[in-house]
Amino acid sequence: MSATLERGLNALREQIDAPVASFFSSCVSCGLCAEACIFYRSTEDPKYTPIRKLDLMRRIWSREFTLLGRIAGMFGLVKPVTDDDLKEWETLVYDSCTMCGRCSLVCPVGNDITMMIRKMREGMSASGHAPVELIGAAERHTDKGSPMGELQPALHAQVKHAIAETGIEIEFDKPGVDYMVILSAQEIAEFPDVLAAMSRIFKKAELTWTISNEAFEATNVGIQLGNRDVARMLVQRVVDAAEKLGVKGVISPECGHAYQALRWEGPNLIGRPYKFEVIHIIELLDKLRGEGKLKTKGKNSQKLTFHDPCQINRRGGINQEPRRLMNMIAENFVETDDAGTMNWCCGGGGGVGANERAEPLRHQAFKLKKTQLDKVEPEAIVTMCAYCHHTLDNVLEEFNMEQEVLGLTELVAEYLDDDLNDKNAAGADA
Amino acid sequence: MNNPAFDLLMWARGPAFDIALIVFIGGIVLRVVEIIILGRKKDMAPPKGNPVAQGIRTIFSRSAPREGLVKFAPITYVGGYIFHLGFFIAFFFFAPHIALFTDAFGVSWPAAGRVIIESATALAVLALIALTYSRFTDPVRKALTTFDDYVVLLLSALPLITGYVAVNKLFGDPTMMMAIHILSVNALLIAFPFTKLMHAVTFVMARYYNGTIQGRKGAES
Amino acid sequence: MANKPMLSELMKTHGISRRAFIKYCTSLASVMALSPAMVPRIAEALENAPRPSVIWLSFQECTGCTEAITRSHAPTIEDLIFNAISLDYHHTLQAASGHAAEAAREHAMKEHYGKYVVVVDGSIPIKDPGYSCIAGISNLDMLKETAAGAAAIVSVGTCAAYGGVGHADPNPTGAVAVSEIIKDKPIINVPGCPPIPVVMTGVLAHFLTFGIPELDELGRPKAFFGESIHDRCYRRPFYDKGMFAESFDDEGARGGWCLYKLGCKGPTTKSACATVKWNNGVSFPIEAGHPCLGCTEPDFWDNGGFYKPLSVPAGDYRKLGLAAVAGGAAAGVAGALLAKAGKAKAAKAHETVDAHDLEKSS
Repeated sequence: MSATLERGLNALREQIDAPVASFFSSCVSCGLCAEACIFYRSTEDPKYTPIRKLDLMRRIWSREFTLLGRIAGMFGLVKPVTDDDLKEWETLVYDSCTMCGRCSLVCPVGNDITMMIRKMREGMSASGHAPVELIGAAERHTDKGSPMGELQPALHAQVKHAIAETGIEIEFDKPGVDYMVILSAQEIAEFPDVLAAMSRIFKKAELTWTISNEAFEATNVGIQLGNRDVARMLVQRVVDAAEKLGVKGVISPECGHAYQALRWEGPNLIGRPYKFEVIHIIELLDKLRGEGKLKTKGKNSQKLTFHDPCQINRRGGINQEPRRLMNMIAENFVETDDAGTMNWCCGGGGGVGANERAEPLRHQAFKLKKTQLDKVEPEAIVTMCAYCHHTLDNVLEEFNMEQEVLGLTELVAEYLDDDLNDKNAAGADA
Repeated sequence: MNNPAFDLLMWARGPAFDIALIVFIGGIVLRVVEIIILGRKKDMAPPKGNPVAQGIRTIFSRSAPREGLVKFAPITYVGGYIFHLGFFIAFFFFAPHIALFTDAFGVSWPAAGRVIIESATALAVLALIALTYSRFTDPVRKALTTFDDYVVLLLSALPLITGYVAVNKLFGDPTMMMAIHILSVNALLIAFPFTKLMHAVTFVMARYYNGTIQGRKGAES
Repeated sequence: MANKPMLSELMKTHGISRRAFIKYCTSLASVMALSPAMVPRIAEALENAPRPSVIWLSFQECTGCTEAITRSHAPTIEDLIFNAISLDYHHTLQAASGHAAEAAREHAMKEHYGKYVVVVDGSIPIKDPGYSCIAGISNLDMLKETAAGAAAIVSVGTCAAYGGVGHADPNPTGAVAVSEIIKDKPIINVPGCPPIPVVMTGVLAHFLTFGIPELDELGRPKAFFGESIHDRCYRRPFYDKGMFAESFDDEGARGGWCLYKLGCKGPTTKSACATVKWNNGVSFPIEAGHPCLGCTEPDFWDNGGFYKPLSVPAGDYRKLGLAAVAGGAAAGVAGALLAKAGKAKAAKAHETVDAHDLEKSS
């Protein structure tokens, strides 16, 4: 089975619903969405105007979903969408959009442009117009369990390391525990210390947890690709494993699209609610803090600022939780301008980071984030998404900026009031 | 003998208005029903916030701009506000227009004096001129603008301009100018369901959906 | 009839002082917006000009115009005006009747052929001329016959000027204005339902003094019909301030506020009512609390309704609106079902893919 135009158009047709119809009906071509978009603002190229990226979907909606549009189409006033059109729009829909969501917040008539980009990608991916890197990642994830390929050996190695470091047991496939933890490939590969951090925090909070061998991967390339079949299959893996293990909840890790996929899109993808709750790691840490089960000692004295991952704050609803945690363990926490809901995207999400063709554009798009950071001049940037973490690491280097990037869970664990810290402190004194 | 200006006025507020009303109301209802019946699948993710309340709240809150963004597109924001406010004041608070609502629905409310009405009208027209200028010169606006946008700009301006001319007897026979004013309104009504003017009705749905989607996640909208 | 006493003699017999007469001429001049320098000319003309024969034809009318012109505030002066002309034929005012009356008309026509003035009130039915006859002669025939030798025609009242109430929808008699029938004589339209008495006499006086006054595009003397009621209305400040009566006898009505919302046609009506007023300047309809009907304008009976404001649509729009809602809803349902069918078809045709099906076959 291979991609065809018809398959793509059908996929788009399936995506058009009342919200989409109300959005296209209401657009007044004001262009304010462009002012919020990192790709337009950094290049000043009007072709990156967010609503413009959706013109193909608008044409289908008009021609096939409205009576007046049908008639207009008969007179040639609205043109059908061709394969060439889809090809031309590929870079607009994939390279110049991280689905960061700022446009959806500024549109005066209330259009959720981001949601429509997600839907638009269904048509693109089904018709063979998705970036090759994302297709490759999807293939690897489908066949080998992770977008980075066979990651199980690496995972087991990192878990072993964490056990050795902390002296706390981490068990695979343990049924009946409180939580099943899923991890993003990025964490396993680049930031594995989060395992030890979680282990210590959960021990102190008396939470039981496990990792599933069949479903340890949190990332959902199906979301970035914009293909619900792939997305559903990947979510189903996690759901099946969690329900098989009979856990109370699944912890979504520091990964943006994982949270979107599992917490918000998942039940709709598989067609039913889960038999467990989904909680983001930072949500959980804040909950534990509120319950008095997360005790810290000492504070970080660096000048720290916080980067909000788009899929977790603006598109995910987790805004105050990281700040409460930051205030707990940071002495000198300074917010950037536009911190919180309107924070600027790092440029890596939505599949853009993996897309080689989009690299120059992404590099330019960082300018907005850079302006934010330059104003505050932090010593370190804390974030709660491994891919933001990875993207920021790289792009700071490209721009010769000296800040380090830190993960929030790890940072909190650094100041956890537990035996390990006491031991380390004692060791340091000795 | 007949007065052609008055005959035109009677036609404009008679058969011409009847046609315009049918197209206006029929067209709007058609498009709104079309959207609502399309429906959307029930969202099965457990909500964190209150989707319905936030949906309703967003209908109103989205009228204010996000902090710090006005300076990046000042003509669009400021011009947009001035046009809408001016148009609303001139339309809803000029007594002859209130008379329309009184006749149709039996409701009435206080009218504003002519100075306020005329200032609102003049400012609204100036705003439209500025917005038109922006559509010709600003790259983002230029790339987005279509025939629809120009038609709507013109048809929105004509009732304001012709109304001002008629009331102030700037030129022409006042009865003829009033007839032209009502004809320009009829044109606006007819164009309504075929153009982006529909946003005046569908923005409620769009903002609601935006708010309800974000509200389910406990995210801002 | 031609040797009736001159005005100056009549004045003496009726005990009207010269001073009072000049005062009348002055007020007439000011009412016509003429300069005071014109006053002597008016006086001289009224006193000394030969009294032309006037034939007053009454067709489909209610006699309101005659009632008005005779309901004058200063009967003696108005009377003089009637004595400054030789009113040789008038159904209501003449002493003769029957054959004698018609004979008087024919005699005046013959004797003053080409010089007499015809005054008409009432419309002329042309659908079946038999609808309105006098002495067996249809209005249509009488008008044509009498107008043939006229120097000028004055159409007094909206019926004669524009067709008036007879001409109103559905116009069962085919009523038309004088100007629809007579095309080759100068016609002065003095509309109103009825016209203001002093306007009627003022026009006649102007005609006697200076000839035909300057007329607007509807044939009305600009002196009396040059400004709209709206532009001269004493309640205009309320319009400008947005203070309107909402219903009869409400606070606004009793406060003398603008009557636009009660259907006043002031803005589209040209007349002198707001300045000259009625009954020697006592009042006019708006001042009495009633919205202007627009009675000096053609087709004012069909102007949408006396109590319907000008800004309100004239037709039965509420019914149409409801019909449009129903029609639009039906079309919307049809459109949406078509769209949903298309969507369902697309869903049915959905090919479930996995990651390996996302490339195009080259």
